Amino acid sequence: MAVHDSSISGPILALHQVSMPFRFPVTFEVPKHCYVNARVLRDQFKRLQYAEHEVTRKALKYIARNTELPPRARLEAQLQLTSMPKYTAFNQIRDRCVATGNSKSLIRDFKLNRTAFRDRARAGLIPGVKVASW
Amino acid sequence: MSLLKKLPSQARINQVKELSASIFGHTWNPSCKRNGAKILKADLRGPEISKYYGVNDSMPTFSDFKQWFPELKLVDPKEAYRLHMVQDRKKRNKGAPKKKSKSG
Repeated sequence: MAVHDSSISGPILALHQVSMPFRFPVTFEVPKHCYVNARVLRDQFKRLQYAEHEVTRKALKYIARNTELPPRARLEAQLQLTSMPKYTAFNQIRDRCVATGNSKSLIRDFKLNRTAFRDRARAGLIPGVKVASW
Repeated sequence: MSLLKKLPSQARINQVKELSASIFGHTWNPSCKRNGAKILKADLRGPEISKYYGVNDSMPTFSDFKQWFPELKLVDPKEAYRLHMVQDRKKRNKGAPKKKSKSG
């Protein structure tokens, strides 16, 4: 089995190279006050990008939807809107549990998954919430 | 004052409505033309959405305190517990597998 020199020096060289590049096109601060996993990071990136491009998107959408403007401008606006990166769209954003990163069975008022909510509520960590009985 | 014998014409009433809308900041679109006004009318919600996972500067974390008061030699109990468990697992040969090198 031939062992190529490059394969041996590869990992050793890597230590002297630049640290791993940030995995998103734009660098942002990782959230500190909630559970963080890859999906939460992706969602946070989308949220920040949506906030950044919101005005542009709204303007383009307005131009595309306004029937009183010339059709060519409307078409161009529509094309430009669809060519915007998809991580700037609002519908890509999904609320996630702040304790577990889960996006299912979320209770919006608490930003928690149903199980995380139950755990925290039973531990008394959610003010004003107690076991129901009536 | 003088009593009206009959109501003003519809055009005149519409003029009043238009003026009233401009005074009170309402929209006036009697022919219901689709002019995209509802897109401009809606509030911007970017800031609220980007703050969903919390604002990092709102509260300091344990690592911030460690940085500000190094002389106190603070120890985070949660982090210490986590490191202890990692050590334990390594002792039992259950630690995380070695990272696969790029050339592999």
